[in-house]
Amino acid sequence: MQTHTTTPVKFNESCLSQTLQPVYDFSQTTASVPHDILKIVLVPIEPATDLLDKTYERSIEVEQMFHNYVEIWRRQTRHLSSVAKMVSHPAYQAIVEMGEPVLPLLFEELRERPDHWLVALHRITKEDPAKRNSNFNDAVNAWLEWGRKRGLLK
Amino acid sequence: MGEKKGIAQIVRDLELEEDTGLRESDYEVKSPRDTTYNCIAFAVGDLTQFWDDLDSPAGMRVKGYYWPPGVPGTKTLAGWIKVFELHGYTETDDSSLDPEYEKIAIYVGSEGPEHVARQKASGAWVSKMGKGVDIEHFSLECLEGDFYGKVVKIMRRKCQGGRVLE
Repeated sequence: MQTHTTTPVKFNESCLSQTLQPVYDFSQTTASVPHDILKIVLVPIEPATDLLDKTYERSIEVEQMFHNYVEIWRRQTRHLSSVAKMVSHPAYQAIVEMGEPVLPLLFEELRERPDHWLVALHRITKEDPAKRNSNFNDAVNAWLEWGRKRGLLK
Repeated sequence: MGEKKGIAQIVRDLELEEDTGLRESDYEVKSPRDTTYNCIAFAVGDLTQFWDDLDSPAGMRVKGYYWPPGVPGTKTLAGWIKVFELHGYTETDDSSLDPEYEKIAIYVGSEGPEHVARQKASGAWVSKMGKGVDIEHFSLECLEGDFYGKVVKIMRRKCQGGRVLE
């Protein structure tokens, strides 16, 4: 198998805030739930904290896979008006499932050919750096700035 | 060589024809491709925002999109109708040209509303094609098919001292 290493990308921010959430969903609580389960246990949500100090090696395989999915997605969603439909496309989902290693490619794609990648970026990073009431262009710029600050976009 | 006429008169959009079944004679391209606004934004005259609720409740959405507060979701015909009601439109059955009214036509497919077109003073219709170009088309039927479904709702509003949009 080929392994080609190109540009290593390293996050340069020292920390991101850790978010906590309850393990047990109390909206589902009923009278029959045993008493000892009714205690709040807090555990960290993984994604944003995990973005720290990582170096992603961009292999040819990952890049090819990413660009293939991008082209399929662009071709098959180019005349849709619904973002929900665009982001439920299997190629878009596949890119989201590639996870953090695809972030540098995603930011490059967003910069070079702005398109509806905001949902993918949010799903992977669990962040949303755009201001309230941002329009699409404003939100794209906010994401690009966010990516630059973290060394994900040169 | 004549005067430069710009993109509208020199470009066909083969991708658009491939996706929608449009023929060259059905339409004219009127703008470059643009991912920043969609058909519903275009129909209400807003070229600065992409109107969509992302199928999520307000407050849970990724930022960068606009959907009017309190309006049913983009997946519903009721939501699209409400958007146009907020802009002064009421329902009608008549898609023919009436100089006193501006009209829009909503296309619905098997999964809900897919597209909306707006009528010009000439009687032609204009549409923003998803993330693609704006076009002028010469019938509503030319966009009907598998991609955008069929026109199921016509709405109109009175022109007040001239058309608001053209």
